[in-house]
Amino acid sequence: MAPLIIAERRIILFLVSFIAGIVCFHQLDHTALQGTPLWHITGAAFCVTFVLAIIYVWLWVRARSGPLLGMVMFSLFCGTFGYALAALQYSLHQPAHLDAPFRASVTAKIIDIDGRASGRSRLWLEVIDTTPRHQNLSDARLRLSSKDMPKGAVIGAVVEMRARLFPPPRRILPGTPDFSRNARIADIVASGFVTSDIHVVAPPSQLSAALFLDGVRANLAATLYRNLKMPAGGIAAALIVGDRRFISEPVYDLFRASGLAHLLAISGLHMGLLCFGCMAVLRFFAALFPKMASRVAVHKYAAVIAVLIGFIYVILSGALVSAVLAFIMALLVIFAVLIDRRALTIRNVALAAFVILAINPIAIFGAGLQLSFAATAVLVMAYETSQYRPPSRRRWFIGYMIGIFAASVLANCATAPFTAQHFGSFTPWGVLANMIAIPLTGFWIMPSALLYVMGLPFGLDSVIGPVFASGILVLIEIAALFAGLPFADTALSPPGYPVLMLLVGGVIMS
Amino acid sequence: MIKPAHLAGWGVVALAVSLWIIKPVPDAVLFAENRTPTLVVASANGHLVSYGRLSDFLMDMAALRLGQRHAGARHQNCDDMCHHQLRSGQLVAIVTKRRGLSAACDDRNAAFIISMVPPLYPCRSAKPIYYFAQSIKDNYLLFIDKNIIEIISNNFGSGQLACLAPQPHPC
Repeated sequence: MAPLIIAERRIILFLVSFIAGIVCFHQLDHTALQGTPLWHITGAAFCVTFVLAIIYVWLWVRARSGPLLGMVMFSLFCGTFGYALAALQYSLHQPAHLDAPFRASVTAKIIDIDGRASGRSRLWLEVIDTTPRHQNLSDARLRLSSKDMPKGAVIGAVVEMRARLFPPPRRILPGTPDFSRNARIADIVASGFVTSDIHVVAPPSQLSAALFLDGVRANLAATLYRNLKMPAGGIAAALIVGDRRFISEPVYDLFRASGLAHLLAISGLHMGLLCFGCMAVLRFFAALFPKMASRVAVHKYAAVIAVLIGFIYVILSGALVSAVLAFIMALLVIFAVLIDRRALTIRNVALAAFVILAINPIAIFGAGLQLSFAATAVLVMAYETSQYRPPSRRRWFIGYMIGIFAASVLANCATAPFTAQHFGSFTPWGVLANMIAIPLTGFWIMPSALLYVMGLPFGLDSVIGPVFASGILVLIEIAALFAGLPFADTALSPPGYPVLMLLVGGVIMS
Repeated sequence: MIKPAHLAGWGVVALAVSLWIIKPVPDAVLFAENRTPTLVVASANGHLVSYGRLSDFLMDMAALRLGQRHAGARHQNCDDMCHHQLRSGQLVAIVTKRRGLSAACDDRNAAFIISMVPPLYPCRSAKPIYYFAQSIKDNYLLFIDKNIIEIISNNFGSGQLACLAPQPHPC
């Protein structure tokens, strides 16, 4: 327990308690409380949290608690708070769902499209009307998969189709993800598939801000896909707007088998490259004017601009969990720069996780948060430890390559159990593949992506497009090279959450 | 200097890895919830075999739990009765139609029978017959240890021994 009692690392204990509270709510058998409305459970949990908070504050004000008692009290508070927030989230999403399969003609508004453009697309719909009528389907949300998508079927459009609808699925097998939980939080009443052609009844009109942004993302993804052609266009859309619809299954498999799939999900790597790349460029240009640079704290202005660019990137990318975690981390780092404090600390990583889980407690069960958090936490812990070592006298290039290698090994080791849990695979070549792919992404693909997007309104995309696309094609070649090696993408049985918790606990202690 | 807490931490990591290694991996998955019972079995050659048509999603879920790749999976058309070599090397008979039961009972190579159809009589040779979808329609993980099968359903958490068929009452 000694390292946990260090003030810097106490927050990890609190975060663990908070997560335990969320997991408890979702794992505990609520049959004992059957008949008790969820609102009552939520209210009771908040009352207990409030009482614990008062006791903690009282102990703190009266200075009656030693550090251990205070820590225990605050851990308890975090645990019950996590439980209460998880209960609140479930209480706020209680859609009535279908009890049995149902065939209907559905008229609905498209609110999102994902899946695979080359295979089955998945439509997220808001029902306007169904024939025959079903009381649980009025104003409900549906998720339907379809083989064909007509041209006009874009976000915000009203479409009509026949569909076979099913109640949201339960957990398919013990130890597999519980998709019904996510469906409930997304207010999905039924899922199923389209059994007829999709007819566009009305084009998009009077869109909310969220739908408008989703539409912009989808349009930008389609533009990238058209302009850069396959397969570069699909990967460009994933990198810039987080839309993976246009990546074909074989190309995605190459990335998965080579351990490079994380490059296709907007994460800390992309956010770091973008925000801190912009910061570096701005500081470089400011250094060209020494008088101004010596009078003004240029790094602070550059930090603020970098945050704004990062914010636009998060919005454009659809605010995926990994992107939001990365943005909050970047925000904390930049805030630390602004107030002249140390930026990369495990405390900041834990704070970022707290914020995300407080907003969306169910994110703890997703691969996105678990993988992002495992990799970021281990890298930051290693960085904190390396701060106490004397500075290296190596050449910068050798130092950089050693850094990339160490980061790759650490991130691979940290994420391997989570990858096995969610995807049942292990990618032994991931370390080597990342050693080549990360510099390529950092120095070629991401800068050209930024220039490409900035050049789009001025028609400069045709100039930068080939550079951007060729970088992506090199990346695909690297993925193909490592995916073709023996033992790439080795199947591994999931460890299960008890083992994962032990592993995390052990790493925190060590 | 290494502190005792750090050593304890590494000890916990080693314990977790050991638990992961010794954790039993299911040998087969039976999908029976809201559908015709369909068996997916892990093989000695590292490839999944499904004895019936399944969606990619269900095959992915089976592959995840059985610790084998979906990519190399194949669909086996089992006409009445067929053999399957388990990961452990043991040979079992899989019966998809009732008329295959007689052949499976007479087969000397198979250690036991997994039936997709309800058997009406036991084997004369006293070969064990397992039929899972007799009482409830769930999805099951099957852990096979010699001639004994432990099942875990998505409807109940803990494992229980599979009952031999035929049974006078659901067990």
